Amino acid sequence: MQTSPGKEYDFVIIGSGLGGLACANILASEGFSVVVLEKNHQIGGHLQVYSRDKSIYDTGVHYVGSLNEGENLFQFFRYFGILDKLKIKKMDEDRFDVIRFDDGCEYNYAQGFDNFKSTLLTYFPEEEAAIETYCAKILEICNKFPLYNLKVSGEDYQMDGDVTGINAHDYIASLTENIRLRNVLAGSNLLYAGVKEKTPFYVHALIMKSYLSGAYKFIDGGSQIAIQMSRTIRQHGGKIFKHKKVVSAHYNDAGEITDVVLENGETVKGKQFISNVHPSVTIDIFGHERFLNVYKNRIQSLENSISTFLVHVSFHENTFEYLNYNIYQHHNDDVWSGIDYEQESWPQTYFICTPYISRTGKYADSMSIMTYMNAEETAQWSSSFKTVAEPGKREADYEQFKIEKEARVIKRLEEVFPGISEKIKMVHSATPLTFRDYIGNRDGSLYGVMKNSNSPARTQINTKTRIPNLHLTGQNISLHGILGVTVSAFITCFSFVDKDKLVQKVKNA
Amino acid sequence: MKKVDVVVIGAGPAGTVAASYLKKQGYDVTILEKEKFPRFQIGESLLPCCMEHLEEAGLLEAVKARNFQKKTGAAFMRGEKRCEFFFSEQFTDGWAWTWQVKRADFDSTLAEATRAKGVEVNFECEVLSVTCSATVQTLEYKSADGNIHNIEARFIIDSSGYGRVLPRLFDLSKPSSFTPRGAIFSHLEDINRTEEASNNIFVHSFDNNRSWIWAIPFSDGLTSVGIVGDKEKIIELAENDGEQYKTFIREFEDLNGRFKNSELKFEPRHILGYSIGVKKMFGEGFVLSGNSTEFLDPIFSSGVTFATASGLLSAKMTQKHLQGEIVNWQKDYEEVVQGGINVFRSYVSGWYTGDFQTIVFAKEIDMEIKNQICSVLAGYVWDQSNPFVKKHDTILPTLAKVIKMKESRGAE
Ligand SMILES: Cc1cc2nc3c(=O)[nH]c(=O)nc-3n(C[C@H](O)[C@H](O)[C@H](O)COP(=O)(O)OP(=O)(O)OC[C@H]3O[C@@H](n4cnc5c(N)ncnc54)[C@H](O)[C@@H]3O)c2cc1C
Ligand SMILES: Cc1cc2nc3c(=O)[nH]c(=O)nc-3n(C[C@H](O)[C@H](O)[C@H](O)COP(=O)(O)OP(=O)(O)OC[C@H]3O[C@@H](n4cnc5c(N)ncnc54)[C@H](O)[C@@H]3O)c2cc1C
Repeated sequence: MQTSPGKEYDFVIIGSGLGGLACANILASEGFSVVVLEKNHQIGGHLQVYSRDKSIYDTGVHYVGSLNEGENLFQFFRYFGILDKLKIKKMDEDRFDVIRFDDGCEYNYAQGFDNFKSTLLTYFPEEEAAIETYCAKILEICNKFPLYNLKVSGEDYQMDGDVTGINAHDYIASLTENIRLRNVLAGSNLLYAGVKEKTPFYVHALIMKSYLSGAYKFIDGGSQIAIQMSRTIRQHGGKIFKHKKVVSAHYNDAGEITDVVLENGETVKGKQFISNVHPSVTIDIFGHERFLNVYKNRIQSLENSISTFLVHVSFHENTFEYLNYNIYQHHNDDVWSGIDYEQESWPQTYFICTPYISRTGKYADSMSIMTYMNAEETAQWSSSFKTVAEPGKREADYEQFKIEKEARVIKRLEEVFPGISEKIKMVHSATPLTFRDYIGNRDGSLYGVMKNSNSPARTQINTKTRIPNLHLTGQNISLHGILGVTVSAFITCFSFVDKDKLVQKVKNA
Repeated sequence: MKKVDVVVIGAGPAGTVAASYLKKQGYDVTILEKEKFPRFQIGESLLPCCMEHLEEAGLLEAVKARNFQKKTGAAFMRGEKRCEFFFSEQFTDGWAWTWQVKRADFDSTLAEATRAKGVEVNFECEVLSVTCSATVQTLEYKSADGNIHNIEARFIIDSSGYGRVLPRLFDLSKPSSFTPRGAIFSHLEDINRTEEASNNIFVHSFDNNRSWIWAIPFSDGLTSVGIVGDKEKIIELAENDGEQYKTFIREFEDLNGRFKNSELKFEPRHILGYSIGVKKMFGEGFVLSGNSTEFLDPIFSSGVTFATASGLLSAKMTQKHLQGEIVNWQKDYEEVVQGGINVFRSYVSGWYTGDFQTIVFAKEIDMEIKNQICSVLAGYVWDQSNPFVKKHDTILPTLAKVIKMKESRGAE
């Protein structure tokens, strides 16, 4: 056989977020030749961690669900060959999340449906019917999503309108007149950047069910998912390259992509191409003229979920005890209103989490506080660009902006943990711009394309595109989050691998 | 007369690797080295492949402890064009980094580590004459005090580098087919080096691919800067204590004033006509390794890696020989070493014809092709699964032609 210079891969995957890595893992295990191209100096997209002053911070994984034995993510991770290599810590059985209000009242979410129900009943003894119905509905809805139940069905995995049209806020409100219970049930809606008028109940249901089926933290950071995934990919002969930003593509006469072009002038040939990058950025990369106007317009007009302001504080040694649960704090009366904030009262809603660091064990090394922030707030500095690999300078007023915002978050935090300021060694933060630069989307959106119960079909994006050998994967396809993105990768791969056999492999893993 | 199993001539990389390896196998080894160490030597940029040889010879840890400048790749430039290779991105599964070293320090480290293993390393012992036979070899050498000594060995490994002891004594040298070139160099202060910029070696090609300039940053803030060109050009640059060399590196616009006001740590030195080959690499009772075999050209920093590769292989063959096995020196040694040299020969030729530059400076370059070339540049020239190794003699001109055609079509 003649060895030719260069190489045409079976699959060229653009982006090493979990979606890209999961596709690579599946396809490489099936014996295809696979290459993953990542623009950053670190792989993993939102799975990246960074370190400052010896502390490790997660950018986009604080905790995951569905890791109890036999649950969906447990099986998926086992199939990927990474389950037994991950260092994970189960969160408190009786409170993995705490919904906390301005009046200081705290409501625990317990793991497992029965435990969850009975815990809620202690706060709301009169609401047994509402709580029962709520849980039953979650299970009913989740049953309509075959892959989440490790089943195969239907053609394209697009969901049916009866399910996707139900609005989360409205449905929960219909269950009970008890305002507090409504707020408690929707209290962790930061997990999906819930918007009262738009967020579909299925999004809420899939995520709640997942966390109720085994909530875990990653010991010493979530980047281990990416690291372990990359190991198995390499073991199967797949390749992963960093510092490879895809900027355009070449086509043959049949309109198929022959190769992608990187920023540094390198090109990579492939038979099939999978983009793990946001669909509207994917259109920019692969050329507007290659897509139909209707498609382009629809994709580019899709609203993205809001961005975030993420504060990381590190503690003086042994001053703050590790919390084996998260807190969702609401300073306003309606848990759905924090996203639509007023400058004066910001931040009204935020998520508090202490990463589990083996070195410091019983004490927390640091804390992450995540709240909403519109990309417009940092838009004036948006022409600057900065990552560790490409350090740039942003104006001093941007630094000032961050310092002010950090101070406001810490002030709020004092209300939850009086005296915490004394224990803090260092504070730093990530803004919408930080996320934009690291992930390469347009606006630092938290979870990508926003799902909408009013027009569910519009916000569902097919893995196939008009370009015959270009496919999509990642959080914008199925659902965001570790589980949602994993599912999206399977859906993408169903175009190339027999789905019954593949799902069987997951089950047998 | 003193009798040992093996005498190694020269304590450079080839000699120390060979000696350390054989000592590890239990042989009685003596090195005779003409100079007193530390001594200056040229050849400061290593290739990742040599890490494997150092490791196998048991010398890697000693070098690691010196914290030399890490080298993770190499950059080539011509005018505005730039192409950077990173060894982490290569076709062959190999080392992703190596070092840039002042050879005085590097070679001393190797020599000391070799001595620590129990090899007798005798400095200031210049080998003068050698008599070889099937079983007994005698060497005559002069020590520091001017006295002449004799030593007897079962086998000789000649790693005398540019000294070319056995090629000279046994008339084994063969002229090189390359245009006679030369190099002029010095070590400079490099205060304009930035934190962020890569500290890897970089090379600028100029004079229509006939000349080039190297910059090899060291860990102590100094940088080695050398110019390579036709012999006549180097002679000119070297006149009056390297006056033109100094002006050139201060003014050469592609260097953007990096060495504008840099102080030279020593007056520029030059070396001419270093390319040379051999008629054969072995004979009754001896084998040649390192630069005493063939040296092509410094462009791809391959010298030390060939020295360690051939040093190691010559030691392995010597061990077989001493164990009484019949060694096929032609096939298992010379052809292997020559095979690697031939790969580099194609790349050196490609550099001076400009085909290599056409490929790496192309507007677009296939990443896999680049990775395959990168493995050659990392020294993995024995990996026959790499088409850029296997078809080294034809692949560069063919590919350059295709690129030129494509780019001229694109320009219309
Ligand atoms: C603050 C925050 C907290 C979160 N917390 C959790 C949590 O606790 N639990 C949970 O399950 N989920 C959480 N998520 C969601 C989860 O992290 C994401 O949904 C998921 O990681 C997204 O994966 P993805 O595959 O879609 O791709 P992404 O992670 O978006 O990765 C895309 C990749 O493509 C690369 N790329 C972009 N452009 C190019 C280009 N041109 N060429 C090459 N590469 C390119 C990017 O650099 C990036 O690496 C959180 C998200 C955020 C933002
Ligand atoms: C301009 C130029 C630039 C170069 N740049 C590079 C580079 O960047 N990277 C690279 O890898 N290579 C480079 N080289 C090549 C490199 O210098 C040699 O390939 C390398 O030093 C060879 O190692 P060696 O062990 O064979 O010999 P040497 O390092 O030359 O060691 C031989 C030793 O033998 C001793 N010796 C000589 N004669 C006698 C005698 N009669 N008796 C006893 N001892 C004796 C010598 O004193 C010397 O110490 C360059 C060469 C040139 C000319």
